[in-house]
Amino acid sequence: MLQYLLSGLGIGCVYGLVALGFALTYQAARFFNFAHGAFFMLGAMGAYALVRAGVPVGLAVPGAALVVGAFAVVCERLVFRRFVLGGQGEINTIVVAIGLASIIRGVSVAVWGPQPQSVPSLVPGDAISLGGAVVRRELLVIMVITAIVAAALFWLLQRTRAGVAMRATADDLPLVGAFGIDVRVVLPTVLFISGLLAGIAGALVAPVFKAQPVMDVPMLIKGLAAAILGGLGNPWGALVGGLCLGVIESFGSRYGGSSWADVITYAVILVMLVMRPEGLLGKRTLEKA
Amino acid sequence: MRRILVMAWCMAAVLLVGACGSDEGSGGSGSSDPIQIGFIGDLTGPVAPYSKASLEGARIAVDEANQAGGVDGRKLELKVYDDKNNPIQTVNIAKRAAPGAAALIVASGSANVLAAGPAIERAQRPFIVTVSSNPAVTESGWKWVNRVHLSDADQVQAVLAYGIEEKGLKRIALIHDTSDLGRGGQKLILDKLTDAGLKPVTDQSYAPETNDFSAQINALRDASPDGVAFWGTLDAGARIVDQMHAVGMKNVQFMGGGGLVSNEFIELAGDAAQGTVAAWAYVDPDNPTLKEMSAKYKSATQRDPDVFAAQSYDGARILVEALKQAGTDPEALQKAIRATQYSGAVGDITFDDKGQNQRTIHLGQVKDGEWELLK
Repeated sequence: MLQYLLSGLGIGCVYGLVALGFALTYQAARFFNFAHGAFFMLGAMGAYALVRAGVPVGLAVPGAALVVGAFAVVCERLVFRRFVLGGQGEINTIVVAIGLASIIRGVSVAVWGPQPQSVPSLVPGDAISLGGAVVRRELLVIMVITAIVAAALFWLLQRTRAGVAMRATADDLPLVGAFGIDVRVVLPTVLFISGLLAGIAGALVAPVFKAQPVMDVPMLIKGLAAAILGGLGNPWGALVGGLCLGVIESFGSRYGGSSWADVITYAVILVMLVMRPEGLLGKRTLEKA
Repeated sequence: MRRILVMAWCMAAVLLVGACGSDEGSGGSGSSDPIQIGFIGDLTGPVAPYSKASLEGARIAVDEANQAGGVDGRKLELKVYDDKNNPIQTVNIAKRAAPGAAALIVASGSANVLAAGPAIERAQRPFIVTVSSNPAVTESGWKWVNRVHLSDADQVQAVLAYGIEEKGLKRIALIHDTSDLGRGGQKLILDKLTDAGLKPVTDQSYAPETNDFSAQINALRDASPDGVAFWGTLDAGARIVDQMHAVGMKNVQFMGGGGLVSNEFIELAGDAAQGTVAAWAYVDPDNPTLKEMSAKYKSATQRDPDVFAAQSYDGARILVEALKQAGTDPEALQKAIRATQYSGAVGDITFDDKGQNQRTIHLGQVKDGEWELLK
């Protein structure tokens, strides 16, 4: 019982980190970053590449996260900016992001090959026993880091001017400029943080799952499901949604059989959208068409 | 106007890329009328380690043949197709490739071969199967199939006989993928267990390309097995055994099929691979044909050839010999292939009347980071 809860929370934190980044970009700019899964994958592949280049694991993990964050900013500058700020419409933005993800995946396959790659662990050693349940060290590290990240983000969003700016752009992008907040700085910042989150999730999970270029789409879908579950537009909802999704999958596979994990993810998205589209923590909004 | 021009360019680019996208023409094509051999495999997904090894083996054989003058003065051309482990793709490729080819070499997974087999049968072209091990490939009454790989019927028998009779395992857990490879293996394993008067302590499955096995591992742990019978591809096998070790299941005997016997499995699973036992269509390192082919393989790929490369090399050589004997007429060619008495990199190869080749199955075990012959 505890076993399923703990492994669910562990994987839930991974989903939560990814979903958090996804929800942040949505909250800041109404931008569904469908390349977010690719950032997660690059975090894992980046950790692999850095370790292979001789960087010690302890540096490779944050290094990979930073690289992905920086890459996200580059994407923003080169690709996303004119779609998000240029008023090109949400559909076009989504299509562009999907296209970008395909390119990233294709290049990754060309550079590293399609096969899974081993990444050494930051915390090698046996799994830890907690009251009859066994948890992998890597998952414990992820849970700790998720907690730290959540706290740091809370402070950033609530207590700093930059954070306020990011929350403001969500409400009314054009108007924000009138208050002296430079929107052209907000978006890259948000993308940097978002990329960092996805990258660190990827780099931390790589020793467990193995790094492989096709990791991007499955994780994107989990992140999306978690964000929808928790309520789009509310990053904390995304985090909570990720944890819930992980636990639901864990218990669902216990009672329904192991192949049900993915089914549960999709079922969750469906049910939430039908019954409570604003998610667990969202607020009902009425939009004028 | 400008918009229309841009769109037109984009369409042209997409069509151009799409047309060259999934095929790759390769191999020597000197004179006017090369003989085409179609090669279908998964070059990017879970079966890629086996398909790519097969491709390299076949390429070496084709290059050798071309350097020796080809067949009746005609060069051989290997046309390579990537089915991305998608059976629908395999069927489409088979339909497209068969008419223009003298024969096909199919290095795809079992689900793909079972899907595309009927199409190739209808096209009436001989095809050589180098990777798929599901018994149905040679039990479906196909006339045009020639399998140089082993059937799972024999592999499961060998592996489980070892586990049950020699290691005395009583609590065997089963984990397999949901493709035809895994399901075929599942059925055979369950049958074998029943014959031995045993039942699996749990039967877990996973979709191919799964990364996160925590659900399955939790269930395996709950069942307290002394042995785990695994039937799937090596990327999943490596993850599973690694994740098993990570939760403390270290003294459980991990057993599987021929797909595990590869250095990639050991690289991916690390220390967790130690002790794994698998069916091995063993290649004798002292075999002279293998040694020659090994040198070429190593210079092309920086790896030693595994059994898939070796059998694909042999399969391609059998095809070349048959072409020399019988020409490109499909019926005559298939007859020549089936009548082959060949001795090559994997030893002696003959085909039975169902197209299945019979070889001794050995068992391998991972010891100190290497696959070693167990029996």
